Amino acid sequence: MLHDPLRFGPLWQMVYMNFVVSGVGIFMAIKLRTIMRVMPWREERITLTGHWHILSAIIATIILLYYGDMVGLKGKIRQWYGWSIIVLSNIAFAAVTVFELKSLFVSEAEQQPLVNLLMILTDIGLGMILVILAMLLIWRLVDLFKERGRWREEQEHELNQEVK
Amino acid sequence: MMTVRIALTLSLLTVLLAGCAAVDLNAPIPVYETGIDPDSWALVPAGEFLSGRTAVPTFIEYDYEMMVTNVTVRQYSAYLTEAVTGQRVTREGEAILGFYPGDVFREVKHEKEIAAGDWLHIQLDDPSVRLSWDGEKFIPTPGYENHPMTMVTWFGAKAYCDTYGWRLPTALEWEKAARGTDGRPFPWGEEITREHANYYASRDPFEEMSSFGSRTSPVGFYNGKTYDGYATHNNASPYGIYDLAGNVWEWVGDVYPGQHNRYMYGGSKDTYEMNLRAWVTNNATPVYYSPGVGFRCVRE
Repeated sequence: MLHDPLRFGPLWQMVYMNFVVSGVGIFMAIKLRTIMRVMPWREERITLTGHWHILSAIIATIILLYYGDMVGLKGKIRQWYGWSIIVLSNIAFAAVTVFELKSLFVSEAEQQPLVNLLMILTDIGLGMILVILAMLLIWRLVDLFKERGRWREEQEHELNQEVK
Repeated sequence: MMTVRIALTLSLLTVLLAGCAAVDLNAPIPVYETGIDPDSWALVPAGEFLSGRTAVPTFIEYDYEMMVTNVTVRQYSAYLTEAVTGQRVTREGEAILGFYPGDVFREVKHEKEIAAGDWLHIQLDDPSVRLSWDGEKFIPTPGYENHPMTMVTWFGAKAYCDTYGWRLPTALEWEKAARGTDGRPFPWGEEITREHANYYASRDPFEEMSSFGSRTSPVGFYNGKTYDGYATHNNASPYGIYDLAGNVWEWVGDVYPGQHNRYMYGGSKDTYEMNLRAWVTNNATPVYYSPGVGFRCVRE
């Protein structure tokens, strides 16, 4: 299962989603009156904003993993691309989850060092994924200028060839 | 390769430990006299102004006066001493409580009942409270005398104003005082710079983002003066009222039917500059208190 990150990744991301989206959402719903609605509105909004952004971003990483598989990444590139997206996105999503729930375990006056750490982890995680995506797209762009690039193979590829 | 791994591990550990570092809430704070008198008031004349983000023409039919600055720690300390010794409030341990006659409870979904009774004004043992009892009276924490009084609940803020025959401003009164009649988003005009107000990471002399983060600035600090080389712009509103954007959120007095939450305006030291626009609101339960929430009063 761990041999191929582009096959393992989409499944794992959906499992991980339960910790950083679904689980948090259920907790918020259960604690709505006792915790969430006691927070000032802007704190509650931070929680909601983080929640939905993780959900949309985790879906984006799943699409990126499928895309890497579709364009035929192989060998070490496939391993690095897949594992990087999985690990970096998981670090970022975990950091955002802690950020959105931080007022539950650290007082408002003492949050700054934690916020600094979480921002670094989030920025590194998401920033590196964007770098990886940029590298993939540059590779695809360069390929367009090759006479017998992958683009030609894909152009000639028929949909019915997908049916096995 | 081994060296790289060790360096990476040490870097990661350093970052993680920095995130767990304890915050010194009593770190030294620069002391500046701003020259703005916290006991002064400014007149806001009756008339029309443009309210909200969409600038809706709105009329206030009466003149009123608003405090030129937030209530300061020095002012609140004096008040609290009188209130405690005069038994206008109750002290239960480290909690100061005061009577509130309650709101009409309509049992709207998510509405909590605010019944008549004693409600929290201030929790004295919270380390962010900038005053203390010296055995005879409440005294401000040195350096914070002319800072806005924070950590006071809506009930506490209302009680302060009521004691002197004043009241908390309504949302409309607050907004008009902040933006005058021409619909400007900020008290001083259309644009905001770091030198106009105290907001998150505004690089003022009171903040240290690597440790305790943003802290309050003295009331009236942003008045065009230069303090030890730090030049400020004048952030007074068209009526000469200071700090209506940034520094601390300010409680307003409105009680809306079917809601127990109370509203705040002005943004704070902990919010980004876009939240300092005059129409931006925050709200919380009336027992909420924070190092980023203060208040001021109005009188007619």
